[in-house]
Amino acid sequence: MAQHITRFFQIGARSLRESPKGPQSVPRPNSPGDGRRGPVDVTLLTVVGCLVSIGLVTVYSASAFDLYFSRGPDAQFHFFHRQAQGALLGALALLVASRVDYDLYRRHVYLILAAAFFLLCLTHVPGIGITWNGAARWIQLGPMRLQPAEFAKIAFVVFLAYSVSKKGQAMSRFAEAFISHAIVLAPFVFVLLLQPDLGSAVILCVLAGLLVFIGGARWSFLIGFGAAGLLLVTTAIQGASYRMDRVEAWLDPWAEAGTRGYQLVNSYVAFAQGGLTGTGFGEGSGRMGFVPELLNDFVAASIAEEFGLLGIVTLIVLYIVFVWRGTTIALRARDAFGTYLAFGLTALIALQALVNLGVVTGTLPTKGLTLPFVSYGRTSLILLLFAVGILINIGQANPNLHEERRAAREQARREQALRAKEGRVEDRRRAKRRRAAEGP
Amino acid sequence: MRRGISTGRMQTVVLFMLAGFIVVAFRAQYLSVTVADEHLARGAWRTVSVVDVEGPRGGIVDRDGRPLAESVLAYSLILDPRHFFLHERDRLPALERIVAGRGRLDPDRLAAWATAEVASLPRSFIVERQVPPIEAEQLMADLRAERVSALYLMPEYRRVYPQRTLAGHTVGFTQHLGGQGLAGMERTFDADLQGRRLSWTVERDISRRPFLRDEAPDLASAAGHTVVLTLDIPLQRHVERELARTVAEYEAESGVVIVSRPGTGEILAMASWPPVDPNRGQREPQDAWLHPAVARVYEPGSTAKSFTFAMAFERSIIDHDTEIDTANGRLRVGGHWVRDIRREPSLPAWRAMALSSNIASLRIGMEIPAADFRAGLVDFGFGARPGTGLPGESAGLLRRTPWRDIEHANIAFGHGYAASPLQLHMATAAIANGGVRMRPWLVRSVVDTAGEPVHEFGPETAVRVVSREAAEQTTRTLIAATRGDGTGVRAAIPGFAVAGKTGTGELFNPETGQYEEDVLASFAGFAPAESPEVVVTVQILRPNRDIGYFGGVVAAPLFSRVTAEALRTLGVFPDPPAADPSAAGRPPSRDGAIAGTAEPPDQPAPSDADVLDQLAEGQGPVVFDAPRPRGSMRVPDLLGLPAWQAVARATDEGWDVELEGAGRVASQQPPPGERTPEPGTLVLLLTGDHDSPQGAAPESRAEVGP
Repeated sequence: MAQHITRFFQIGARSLRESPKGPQSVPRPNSPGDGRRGPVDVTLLTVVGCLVSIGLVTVYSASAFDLYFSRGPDAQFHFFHRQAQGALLGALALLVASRVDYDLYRRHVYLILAAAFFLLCLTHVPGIGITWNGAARWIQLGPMRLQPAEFAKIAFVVFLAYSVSKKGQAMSRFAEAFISHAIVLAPFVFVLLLQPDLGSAVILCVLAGLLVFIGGARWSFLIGFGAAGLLLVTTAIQGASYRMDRVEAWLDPWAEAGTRGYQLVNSYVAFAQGGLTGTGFGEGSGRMGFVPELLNDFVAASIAEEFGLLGIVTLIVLYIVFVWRGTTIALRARDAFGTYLAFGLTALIALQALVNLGVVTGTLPTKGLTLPFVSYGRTSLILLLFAVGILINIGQANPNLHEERRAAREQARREQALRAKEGRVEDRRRAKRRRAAEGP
Repeated sequence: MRRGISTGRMQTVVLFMLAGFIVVAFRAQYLSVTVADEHLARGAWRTVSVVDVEGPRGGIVDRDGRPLAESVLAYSLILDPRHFFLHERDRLPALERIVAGRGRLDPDRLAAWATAEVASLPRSFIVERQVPPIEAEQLMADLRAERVSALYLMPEYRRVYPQRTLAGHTVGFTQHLGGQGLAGMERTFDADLQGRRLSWTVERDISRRPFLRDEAPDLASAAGHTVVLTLDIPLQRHVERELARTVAEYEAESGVVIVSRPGTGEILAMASWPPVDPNRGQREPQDAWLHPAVARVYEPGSTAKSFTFAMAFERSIIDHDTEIDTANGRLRVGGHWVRDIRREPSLPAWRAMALSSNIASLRIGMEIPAADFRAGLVDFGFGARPGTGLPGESAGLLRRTPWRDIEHANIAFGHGYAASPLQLHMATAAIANGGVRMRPWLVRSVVDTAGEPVHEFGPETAVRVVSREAAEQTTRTLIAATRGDGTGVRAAIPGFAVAGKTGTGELFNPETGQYEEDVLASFAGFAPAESPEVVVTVQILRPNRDIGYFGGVVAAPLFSRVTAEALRTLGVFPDPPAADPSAAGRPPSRDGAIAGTAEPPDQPAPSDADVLDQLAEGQGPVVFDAPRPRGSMRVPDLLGLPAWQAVARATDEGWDVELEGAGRVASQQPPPGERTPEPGTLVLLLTGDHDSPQGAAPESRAEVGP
């Protein structure tokens, strides 16, 4: 199986093994790498496949009941079909992304960033932007309805990876590490808060902090980053009464179970009803409309009810495996940009999963973030799978990394040995000189 | 540090994420297991609620299980206006087209809702109740085609009375065709008939609509008990038809006929005209529901002379042939003139009864002290409720002693006190039963859904009124009244000795204090006189005086027809022309003829004298059990029976059956009661499957919910 998948991604690729002219014969134009492609990370693909499948099943289970009664028996697959559509398009996006060398994004980083910002701004343009539940988060492009924030997050990760990798050692300087990123981050956060979409804004800030941290910024800068972020979040929460409500409802949902704590209480009851092994597929009561946003933010409640603690733990294990694979890819990347990009995308997905599960279990205050790959939403699913494609591309880009590393380590050891030898020679010379100096 | 990347920092970040995931996993474990029970208990209100549901009301059936009242599945049509105007506002034309005008949903109301604030609209509005299942399903299909989901159905039960007006007064009706019983047996046995209440844990969806789960209780199994009456529907139908004929013929205002068995007091038919339709329930005028047989009282008139005579026989004041001075038909009592039709100087006792002499009756009545007379009437059941269990039973009016002479005289010939037709009937039955008054027996049993009896009722003796001898002597005078020039000669039935008394009572108008010209024409009697099998009372109110007036003219022929049919129903047949003396030893025939214990008489049609001699000699009844002549094979009455029961009955009697349709027998060919030489093919037309409340319930589930 793994071999088939690997081969599928290699069809047409200039493979080391398949090229008759040898590895070095066809260098990839404009590519810093040698154009050879390594094996696909099958574990990563399997994990993502599992998550998407769980999402499809849950979306059906959580929506079919309501659809059946509100639109008739023929409509019960409505959301399932749309999600499946997203999964298919996402698979296509994944394939394309895995075949396009990620260096392309580095070269067009500002174009991507500008496009993302432009799309974000479009949400406020009447006629294109769509406001729902008091939030202007969507834009209508022809038949498609997009959520530009999803795209903005990936674009921003691309920018961060580019910026941090370019600065390299300069990251230790405050201006480079902090101010330059803050200048780009600020308008994004501003537009997102206007929507308002605090969740996405916080995710962007945390991502920026993470990459800058890994990039080698000084702790003092990070404390500044953290303080700024905290300030931002507290003002945002205090600035909007509904956010304050959410925090209060989070602290004691049962106190206001009928109103503000309603969503969380229903999530708790879903967990309780699920127990260890769940009520079984299609047997949850959440589908009857008790958990608001069951398809989106609270899809994990449905999983907890129908598949129990076992289902939730499975979900968590899948995300942990995802983080492991993503980090491995990041560490083995061909260049610094690849490392930062891979790690940034991994962190983006993992953080959203973590925050979402934290919210659903009441560990974190209620925040409108979806569960990656699982929650209903075509735009989100397509873009997430596109991001996985990028990860796979990074993972495939330099299969010789181990050998190169070994060679590099060998080289270093040799150099050190040489230096040590030279040192010994020097020592002898010095000793000679000293003896000569001391000698009478 | 390779190319500026800190592997260590990356690992730190990953470790933090891992820690976060582990925290979430523990939190999930806490929610799913540790505090699950507490949360379930605290959160139960959102989905679960306990509702009381009620099984269908039990049926009311006749002695053979033919339904008089039953419950069928129906639906309430409920609209959720808030949901509709929030999500489906654009489908208003479709809703209007399909539903508007039904029940309480008029276009004005819809228009008012359409302009109102959505949040102020109600969550549920009962559009129409008791929608038949087929109609409801069609309606829902139409609505679904238009993508209107704001209407839904709630199953309930609807009361139907398949026999329509038949025994309508006795059956009664319920509130809203299925609620509390408000009249008749529906009221008397309301507690038994009511479906059992079940506590049902119902899951509700976000809109608080009950969402019926698979574990829904089987409502049909919670059905109320069934009340089994003593009535016999075929006989009841015949009696009602005959009564309607007589009332029409004499252009009377109303009429009552009661048929019962003297030995047990069980009432086989209790017909009244004008009829009421329980299906119309409260739409019938309020006083139409007063049961004419038990709730309305009249002066019994001459029919009550038999009681005076019985009391006199009991006290040996007179004998069969005692000459009574009838004063040439005119007698002044207490300043009032009492008249007889026939001006006779004197009459023997039996002739006085036959000619219905008021003067003779008052003369012998006056011989009995008022207190004794009153006690005697009370023993006959006057002045007390008969105790059928029917609501609104009247005790009648019976003055306390002391009586003035004219009061005493009036009461002696049946005036000056009032009784319901049933009281008169039961008193007559006491004479037929050898002087023992039985309580009226209208309800055989109350059985549960499995057919096990919950309450059982049987014949109940009230009191011995007069001795057997006095009753038999009275019977002899009553036979005379239906013979020769007796007033009740039109009550005679060929082949039987009939005992009975006519009555033509002028109606007392309490408003004017005067007697009207209109009369109550009545006849109370029984047959066969020698061994009474059936007692019949007929009362026709206000016949058109130009057409008929006397009880002997108006009521007696109806008595004759009804009694003849009742005897046929009971399998009592007149003596055959040449009976085989050995017939006595034969076992009773299958179709339930009354088993006789007497020797078959030598004479084909015993004369009065023969009968009376036999009675005197204590030989018992003259009726005997003869095999039915082949020519008198009667087509069974299968009307109203469920198909399987009808087939079972018909094939039992040797008929071939052809069925058309499904459900209950609506009509049959040949018609019931027709005589045929031998069984042939019986064609049954079936309609309307009323008896499948179970089975419909699971289907209904799909219609319920958001």
